[in-house]
Amino acid sequence: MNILIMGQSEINSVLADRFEERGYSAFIIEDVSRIKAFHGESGSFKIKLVAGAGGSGVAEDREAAAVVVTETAGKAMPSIDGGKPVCLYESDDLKHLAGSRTKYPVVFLLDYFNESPQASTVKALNEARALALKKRNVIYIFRFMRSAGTPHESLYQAARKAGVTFIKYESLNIDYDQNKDQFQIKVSDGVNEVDILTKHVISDSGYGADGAYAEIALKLRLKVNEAGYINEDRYMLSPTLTSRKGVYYFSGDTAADRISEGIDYTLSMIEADVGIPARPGGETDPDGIDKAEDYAVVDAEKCVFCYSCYRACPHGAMTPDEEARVMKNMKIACEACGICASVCPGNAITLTTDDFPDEREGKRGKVKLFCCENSGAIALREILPAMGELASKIDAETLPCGGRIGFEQLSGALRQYGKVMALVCMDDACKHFDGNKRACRQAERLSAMLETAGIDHNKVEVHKMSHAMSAVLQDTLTDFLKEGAV
Amino acid sequence: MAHVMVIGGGLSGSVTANALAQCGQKVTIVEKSGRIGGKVRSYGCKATDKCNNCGVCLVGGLWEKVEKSPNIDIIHDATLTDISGKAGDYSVAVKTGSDLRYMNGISSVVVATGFEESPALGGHLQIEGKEGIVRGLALEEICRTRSKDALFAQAPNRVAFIQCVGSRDRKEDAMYCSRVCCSYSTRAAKVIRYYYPDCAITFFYMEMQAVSGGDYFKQLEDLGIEFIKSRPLKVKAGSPATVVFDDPSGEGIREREFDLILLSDGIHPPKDADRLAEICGLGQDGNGFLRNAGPAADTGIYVAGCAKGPGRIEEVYADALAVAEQILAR
Repeated sequence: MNILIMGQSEINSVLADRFEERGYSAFIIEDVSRIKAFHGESGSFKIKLVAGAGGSGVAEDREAAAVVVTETAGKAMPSIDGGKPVCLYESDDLKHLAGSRTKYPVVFLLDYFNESPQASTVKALNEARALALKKRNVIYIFRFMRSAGTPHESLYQAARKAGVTFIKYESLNIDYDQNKDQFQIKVSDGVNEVDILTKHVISDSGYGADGAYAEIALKLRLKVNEAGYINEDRYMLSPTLTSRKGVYYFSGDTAADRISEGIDYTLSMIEADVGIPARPGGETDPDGIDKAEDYAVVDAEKCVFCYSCYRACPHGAMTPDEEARVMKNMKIACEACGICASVCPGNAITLTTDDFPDEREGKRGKVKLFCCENSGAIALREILPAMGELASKIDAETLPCGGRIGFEQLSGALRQYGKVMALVCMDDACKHFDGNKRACRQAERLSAMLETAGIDHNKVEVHKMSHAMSAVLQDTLTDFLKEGAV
Repeated sequence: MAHVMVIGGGLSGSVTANALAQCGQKVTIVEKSGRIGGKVRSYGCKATDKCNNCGVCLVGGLWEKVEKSPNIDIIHDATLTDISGKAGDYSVAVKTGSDLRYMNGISSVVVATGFEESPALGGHLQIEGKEGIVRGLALEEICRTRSKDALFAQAPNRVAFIQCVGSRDRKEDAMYCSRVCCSYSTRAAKVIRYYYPDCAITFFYMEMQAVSGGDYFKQLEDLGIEFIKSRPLKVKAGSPATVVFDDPSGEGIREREFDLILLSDGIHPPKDADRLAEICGLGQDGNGFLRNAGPAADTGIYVAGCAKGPGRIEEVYADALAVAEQILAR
């Protein structure tokens, strides 16, 4: 699965490495203008890319199952009433502040204008504490203390111990006196009101989107929220989601120690959307049939969203996509039994490993055996050694369920083989409800057609059996192979 | 890297091993015979014209999966001799032939040694001879090798089932019900009726266990099966064979002749249960079945399947999965 990482952030290569570790292939595009067209949907995006910077050059088509936007927000610091606060992330300015001897309190201003990201809280607490230890008068004005999470719990305590004054504000008014180069802050915590006069305000408020995501949002058709970010309004709960399914946001501002978690979370969101469960690494093959290869696929063009397959599926593997108004198959739950395909009124469902038998020579004298993997296939394996010469006359194919044996398979096999037999489970033993009965119906249908056409209808037989009565199969096959010109 | 050792490659051992292997765990199965599968692998289908839900099909493809799994290593013809070390890091000694092999770093041990089918002490029922007498496991084998037209070598006219052989038996010191016999024997009876519509079938029983909901027993009666509430005293082999029993109608001790007498053997603790209990630090219940002495999560030694008591195929299957889940949760 291909994942596109878009944006200018130092985190890109870390993300790419982690995705590759998990078995995905990642490619990075830093220059948004290289994207000329972006179509498709989650699981299959189609991107037209030009090679050159600035949007010129030869175009090539690329595909991606998911996109992760890592564009880092701009660092422009807006002024507050004409006055410029110090940017929390400009270490030089902060160092300067630490060095100077000032009688003014140093005010850390968070959650003004918009809520600050956690990284800001962490940084500000650290800086505030450092300054307080240097005997500065430090005031920390905030609305939310985002120090949850083990490494950060102690930060707040440490800052308080160092002597930082914390004010959780309900209302805030800041005026800047140009002449005196002073900020006048009126802050209320809902109970008391405090006036603060200072030259030194440290803020992260400008550390916001400020149009950084505008071009990406335009190209990828994403919604931009009030603060200029592309992550949805639910960003507290689902920080990686954007307004478009399949496009995720990975904040370049994520604190260093939370990056790993963030990546895992993003990956789990991607995998949930595309319908692949997050596996710890290492493929397993639970049922002997590679799940990644054999499952039902719904043709979105043909699906009329009638819910027939949803109701019919005994394994709950169909899930409705209300947005796109199509039914989707969840590979992990799909047992490839074929019931959905057989009930779909619009013929919109195919199984990935459906194919017709090859046209090959030398099959006239042979018998084609379609075996249900739970009954016929196992019994056949047991008796083949004892069948001697007759074993060479048998061409067996294993299917997940008798229900997969469609009319086309049976009639198609008759084109090449002398005789065709289907081996399915007994009534009430079929794991997929009545796949065995569907096989019987198809065989009967074919038999009836042959009879009408005056052709020997004994060329097609279906037998219900279990794997724990292999001798019955041996008898049946011996008879089948004897009769008729095989 | 967690390494789980499973003692016994029967139903419960294989199901647990498979479940663990699918989750990426490394598993070694110590199997005393030359092939995994235990007793269930040789059980037969009890379908008539449709499936009778005996449970054997649940595990059709299991053995091959276990044998082929890259995460499972099977040591055949091997028995457990010793477990030492501490919880989570055991050193297990396994004897194969004349070799003694030590395996270290075993994080969990699953004792899945199954059961013994014949009553050790002979039980309440006196059995004289062999001809015409078929025991439980042999009956399963007959069902498995059933051909299209015949179940037995010779079509019988009269067949008797004797329930609770060796179970609920004071003489055997096995006062418990073995849970599975009524289930498999009545299903086998249906198969016999299917092959031989005219054969007379008689059940000698104490109480019949509930096999499945609905009108299961009414169905059996509708098939013309005769139920006699009496525990036979003796069976005499021969052609025909004879059942000696106390007639419940009050007419005293009677004898009846049958072409075949089918004995419903139950589930008993393995012959070397006390040796296993000692090696693995397990307790035993009043009937000799193995049991955890302390919480399995602490010791890392689990018991799965019939080693801890009678259970049907689907129950043992679920139990084995539960044990695997407990191990994975540690």
